[in-house]
Amino acid sequence: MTEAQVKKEPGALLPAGYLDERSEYDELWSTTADGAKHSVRGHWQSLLSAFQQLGGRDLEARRQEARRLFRENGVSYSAMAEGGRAARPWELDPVPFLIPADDWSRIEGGLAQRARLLDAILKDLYGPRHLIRGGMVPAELIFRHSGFMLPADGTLAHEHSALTLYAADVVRGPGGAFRVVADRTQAPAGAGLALETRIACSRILPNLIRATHVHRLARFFRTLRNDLAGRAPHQKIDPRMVVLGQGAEDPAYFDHAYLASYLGFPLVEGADLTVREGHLWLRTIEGLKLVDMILRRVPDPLCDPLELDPSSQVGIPALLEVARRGNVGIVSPLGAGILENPGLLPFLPRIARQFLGEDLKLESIPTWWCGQAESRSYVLENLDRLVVKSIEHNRQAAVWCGGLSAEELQQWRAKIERDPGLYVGQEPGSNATTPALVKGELRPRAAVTRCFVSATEDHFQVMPGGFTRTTLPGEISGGLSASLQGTCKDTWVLASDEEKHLISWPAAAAPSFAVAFESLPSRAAESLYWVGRHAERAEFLTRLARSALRKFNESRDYGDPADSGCLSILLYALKVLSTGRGSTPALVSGSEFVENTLLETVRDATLEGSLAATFKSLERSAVSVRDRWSTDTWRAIDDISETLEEQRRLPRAGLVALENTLDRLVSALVGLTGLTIESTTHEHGWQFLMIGRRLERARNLILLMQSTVMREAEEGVEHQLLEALLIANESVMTHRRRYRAALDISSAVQVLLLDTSNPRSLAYQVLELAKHLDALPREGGVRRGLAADQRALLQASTLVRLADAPDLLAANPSAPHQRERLTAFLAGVDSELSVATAALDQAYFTHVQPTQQLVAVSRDLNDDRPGMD
Amino acid sequence: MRYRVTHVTRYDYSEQVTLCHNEARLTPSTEGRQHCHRYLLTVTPTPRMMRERRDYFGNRVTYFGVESPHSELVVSMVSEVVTEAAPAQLQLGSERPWEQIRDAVHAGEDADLRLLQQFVCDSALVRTLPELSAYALESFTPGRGVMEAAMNLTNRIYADFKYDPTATTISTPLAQVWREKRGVCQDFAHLAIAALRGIGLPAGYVSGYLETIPPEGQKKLVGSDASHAWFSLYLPDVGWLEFDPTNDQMPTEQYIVLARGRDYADVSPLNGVIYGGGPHTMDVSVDVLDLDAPA
Repeated sequence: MTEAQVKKEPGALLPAGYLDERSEYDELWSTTADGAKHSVRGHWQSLLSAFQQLGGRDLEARRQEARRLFRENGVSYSAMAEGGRAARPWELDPVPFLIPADDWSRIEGGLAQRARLLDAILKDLYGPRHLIRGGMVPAELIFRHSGFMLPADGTLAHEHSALTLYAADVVRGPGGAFRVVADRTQAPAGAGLALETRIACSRILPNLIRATHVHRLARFFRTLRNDLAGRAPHQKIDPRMVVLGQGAEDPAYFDHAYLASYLGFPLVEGADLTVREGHLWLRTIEGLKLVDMILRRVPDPLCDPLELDPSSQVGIPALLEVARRGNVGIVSPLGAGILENPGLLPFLPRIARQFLGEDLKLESIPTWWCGQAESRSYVLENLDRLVVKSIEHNRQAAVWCGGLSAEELQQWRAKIERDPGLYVGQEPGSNATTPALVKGELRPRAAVTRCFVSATEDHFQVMPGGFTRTTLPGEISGGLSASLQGTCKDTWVLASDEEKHLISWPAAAAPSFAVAFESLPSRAAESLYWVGRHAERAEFLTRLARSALRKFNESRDYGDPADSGCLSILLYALKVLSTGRGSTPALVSGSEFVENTLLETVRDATLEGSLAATFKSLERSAVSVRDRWSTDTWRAIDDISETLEEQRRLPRAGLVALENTLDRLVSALVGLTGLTIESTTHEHGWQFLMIGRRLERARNLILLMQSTVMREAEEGVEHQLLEALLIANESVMTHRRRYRAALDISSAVQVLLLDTSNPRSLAYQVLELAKHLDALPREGGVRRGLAADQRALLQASTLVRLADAPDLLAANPSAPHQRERLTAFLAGVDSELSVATAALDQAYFTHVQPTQQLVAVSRDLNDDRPGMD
Repeated sequence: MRYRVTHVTRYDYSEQVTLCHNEARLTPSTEGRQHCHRYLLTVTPTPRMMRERRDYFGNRVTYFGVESPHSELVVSMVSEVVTEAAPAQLQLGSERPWEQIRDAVHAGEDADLRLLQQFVCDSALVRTLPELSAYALESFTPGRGVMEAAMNLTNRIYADFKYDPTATTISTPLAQVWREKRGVCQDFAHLAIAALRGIGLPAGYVSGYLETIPPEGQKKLVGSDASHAWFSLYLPDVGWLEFDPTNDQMPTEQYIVLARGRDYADVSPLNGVIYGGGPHTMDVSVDVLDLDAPA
């Protein structure tokens, strides 16, 4: 394709202006040396034609589709908003970043070498320090960098302490060669995002990705899993490995959860782990389990509050001591942050020759460390065309000095002169541009790609792909971490001709979410239990609100006084169930009151116990076990919050819309429950999900009955009320089959409370609960007899089994309208359930005690000045 | 001199501690002019795990973890140390002009000097300040012998700053100590280190003990001694020279070195993280007993 051919098409995807905007090297266009002729590069031609056939509008539509996929999956690299929803999701540009096979083989070889080199540097700096002794690296550059952690000295001697997973941000320079902008060695984010981007991309461009012969990513992760297992200490055959994250508030939480579920490791937090007897243990519902290997997503200083940053709340006290004893493998080893020091870049070529006897294959972007006189004067002389960075990359953003005023330049000069060792100057490089979809057209944009390397002693592999972010016009390429949001592209590494037949593309499959892990972490058990409870509570409230709303409509339509009597009781029950309190049922005064009560209960997220608030809690619990849910589950959660959000935006006078919303919510919640229950394997996690669900339903039923039928109402009202209760509990059909039309309190109590075959009855919940509790692992096994929760459930089961409806409803002559026996029965079951709940919490959930630093010393005091007295 | 040092730290917790992890730097080393020929670290309740190692600076550090519930923790170190006086004759090289030292360290002429550059860099609790560098330069006048200049700096800190345990806490910044001209031995050591680093000289922090001699006719009270701190300055071919600005002298045989580092943060005698515990109190007692003194 030539320039002329491209330009001809009207309204083309590729506007003529592209050529003017592109930089010296463009991924799409090649230009002859004299600048006279332009043509589309060979590896872009067929893809460009395909895109042109689709057209800008279609591509924009696919971008929308990707946006939806991302939102559903919660793809975000930024802080989770309230309720765990992504505040600023990544945006996927459907136009991929292409890396041709020959470029790729240079990157691959270069990064593999670099990983070996950095590993050698790391082991030297925390070992013999030949680099410093021999003057290969200035001492100041290492000693003053916060990444050099003295407590880690000597801990890297174990063979499993190595830079197993490493990331480099690469960009193509003006000459066309790829160069490294930054090395990321502590806990580089983005591997999960790269996977997710690929999955989204293969959804929106299914045929193109196959036709383009793009390398697949799955093998990298399979091998990574083995590489990590191979690093486990004591040559363990089947090591227990975990991904250590910082919790759902971490901006990179999604990335961690995705990586964890893809690798099949549990995602844990510092509080899930504990050090005892010189080993690292995971708190599970079956007690403490030995952990052999940590893939950490927590930066160095935060990992151990005993020896590193004492203020860390996300670390594990004494982790470094366990590593020092060689009882846990940590990837990356603690202390690896020193390798992220950009001041090391200018010294790498010499170190490569010294340590590896090789020339550095992949150049770094030209960098000068100001701690050396010569480099300093170069930087100061050329300041206005350089980027200045602190050697502590997270302390200060990079600054492109070309954009500064004379005065600001002077300030920077003074800053550097005051403390030269703190700064590096870097060539900004006119980075190559690549086509990006901007408002339906292709426009040239600079891009930075994060590549991932996993290495063991005898082999290495580079993920054939990566996470590519397009930078905004004028933005300096500080690497990926400089900006934690934006537009990303899938990275397509093209197969060479010989490799083409090796790449098979089965239908794009989502990763398997099976967590191959035998012991359920206590925190996960707790979260699953709460997912069960909140989901059930949300459904229960929705159904009850719907019953009340229908009753309200009927009372308006027919004007039957019994309707309003029933309605006030239902509204009272709704209040009690949602907020836990309600004023005594008074006759409903006006439709405005009803409307307010209903709307508030459904959509006011600030009202504790409301449906909206319950749903937020559900989201929060679900997010904290992110790695256990499938994409479909997230879609269901997303649908529900969308529905609630829509309802919130409606004007207040919207009872018709409300009924509609409630109908949709019931279906969606039932769907969600089905998904969580049906797609969770029936292991302990499932038991906790079900326990939460059964407990919540039982207690809600009890509360509902307590707030509605504890005293006899007028006959007309009571009949309506019982009917509404049956509807709200999805038990009308059951009742009809058993009793035909004869509805009275006795038949209602039988169906709602005592019928062991009605899955909505209290008896059913209690008996099921007993079974789930029996299935839980018990300390000391069955020989220890029944646990407190099991005993309580046995009591409750006995109560419901022995209960008899006529007996429960037998009137006490002194208070004929009070149902005293029923009241006592419900209170009895409720109290056993409370006991079980407390016992369960005590036996299985985390109860992480807060940690505190022992403030070590009183001050060193010595008031012994000779001759002072 | 022969000393027995007893250093007891006791924590009383208001709530139970279920697990604690600690690091103690309470064991004197055999080094320089002292010989530590025996010591015993006792922790109650008995730790499940206890292990001694050398840290980056060569200090003895003991990790211990108490893994059973407890509401008090007592860490007690008893050590016996024999000290010698510093050689009366100052070693060759200590009269060199101070700029020579600065330049040699800056140039990193050999491996040792390169590693020593660490003691010129800022550390966690000691950052150089222009006013402190200027203060140092009043002692380190051009061409002055390094030993003489360092002693002069020691004299001046002693004269210019008031010893006042109420003036500062562990987190008081140096700038405030400088402004208010008061503090304790730890502040004075930090101040001197910042001043020396500010003019390019390698300076370190020394923690230890000092035998206090009771006023004549009075018996020494057990527990009246305390941890002490002073600073050191490195001279190529000579080694570390030590100065005590709190007492305006170079350490004598009454000084026992416990640990060395860049500043206090490197030598903190006891660190720990506890699970639970609630509010708690701590009590430290230090006793330095002269084993040869008539009873």
